[in-house]
Parts: sequence; C-alpha cells; structure tokens
Amino acid sequence: MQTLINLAEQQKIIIDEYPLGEELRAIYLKIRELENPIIFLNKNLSYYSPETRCVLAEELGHYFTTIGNALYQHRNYSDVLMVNKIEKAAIRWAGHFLIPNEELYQALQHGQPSLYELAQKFNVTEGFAKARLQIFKEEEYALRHGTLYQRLKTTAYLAGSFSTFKGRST
Amino acid sequence: MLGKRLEELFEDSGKQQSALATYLNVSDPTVSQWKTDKRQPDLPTLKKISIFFDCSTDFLLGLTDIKKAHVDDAAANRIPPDLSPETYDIIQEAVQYALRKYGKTETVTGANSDKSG
Repeated sequence: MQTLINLAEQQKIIIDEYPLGEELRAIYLKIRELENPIIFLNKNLSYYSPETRCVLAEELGHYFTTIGNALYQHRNYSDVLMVNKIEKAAIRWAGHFLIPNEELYQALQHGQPSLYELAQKFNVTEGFAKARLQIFKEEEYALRHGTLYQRLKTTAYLAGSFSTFKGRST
Repeated sequence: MLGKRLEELFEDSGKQQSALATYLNVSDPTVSQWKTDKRQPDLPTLKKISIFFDCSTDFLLGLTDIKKAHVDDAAANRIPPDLSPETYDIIQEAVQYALRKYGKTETVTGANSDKSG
C-alpha cells in the first residue's frame, strides 16, 4: 500500500476519498482545469484491505497507460470496445505492478495454486488474482503462438518499458 | 451551425479572426467563409480550431451546448454504458468537489450554457 501511495505522490497524483455510491470503488480523474490527476477512493473502502490495494493500483494504471486525452475525445460515440481496451490496459499495468511476472512464475512452479492461495500470497483480491492469471495466459499465448508483431510487442512490454519503469519507481 | 458557433466563440473569447487565420495558416477570407457557412474546414483543421478556442469539436458542430467537458479523460469518460444515471451524477459531483477543493478560486469555464444550438 505504501509503495502505491509513494508512487502516486511521486507522480503528483492526488489521492482522496469521496462517497461514490454503490457502483464505483474508485475513479481516476484528469480534469483540464486542474494540474494534478486525482484518484477518488470510495469512502466505504477500508484503507488497508487487499481490495483497496487492487483498486488503487488499477486507478494508477490509468495514469500510466493513458496517453494524452486523444483517446477520450470521442466519448459521445461511446465505443464500448475502446472503454474495455482502456480498462484492460490499466488492469494489466496494475497486475504487473502488484504481482510481477518473476514472482508469478515462482508461484506457479509447483502446479497451479488456487485463486485463494494466490490472493493470500500477494495480498490482493481473488478477482484480481484471476485477472492476473488471465493476463499471464494471454501474454504467454502471444509469446508462443502470436504473430511476430504480437511477440515483439509482448516481449517489449514485459522486458522493456515496464521493468525500467519499475526500476525507477522503487 | 459551425458559422454560428465561430461567431459566438470569437465574441466570447475576444480573439481576432486574423489570429485564428494565422494560427491555422489559412487566409482571412477563408475564416469569413466558415463563419457564414459558405465553406467548411476539413477535419484536422476542425481539431485545431477546437484547440484554438479550447472547446470541444462537438460544441463546434452544434452537437452539444457544453463548450468543453470538464473532465478530459479517464474516469468520467470511461463510464461504462451500463452505469446508472445516479452514478453518473455522483461522478459529476465528484468533479465539482475536486474543482472546489483543489482548483484555483476562479470560476469554472465551460459550464452548461442556456443558449440552444
């Protein structure tokens, strides 16, 4: 949790809480009038729960995977696929951040642990662990059976940008 | 529609027609023709106009009366279509809250205007 908060501070992201109702756990806001992005965590989240960890990582993921505002300009022609794509990028980022590939490899070495075990080990929710496994499988598939472009892209994601970023942040 | 909007924007912003022409690298009469809807700018130009006036292209095209959306990106714009109107309202309130709490004291531009398009 502290790592996430430090990272946010380092990037000048404001973390605050707001009563967001039933449907949202958190939102990431980049408001044109304000210099700093803001993450609002729902008031009903308890601060140190694994859920809050996951939610915060995911919202930070939005910060690190959103390139400018261009993607969002067409919101009136709301494209569900695009929304999903954006969400997925954020979750992928969060997944790698909270459960780095090397550590996941280790955890998977002796047969696949249950979601409960994974969640316990990495202090995340089971839903998050499930999503992380899905990301892992997709990446493995892309590396083994993908087109050249997919292979290069995945390798670059895993080896390059992400780890250098992490190196800087820790 | 675009013509009407342009006139409105020139008036509101106090910017000169020639300034836009220079910014876009087009001639002054071209801008005049846009203002009277005799001609229309192409899409890249439209985009630049929206940057010049800091307004949305939707506003320029008359699709909305909101000059610019408060929230440029992320959350509010990635609202999945299945979220309830209540949640949408909550997000708008959260944005206003953030502006009050973290914004400068100046009033927020781009609020809903009463003028119809």
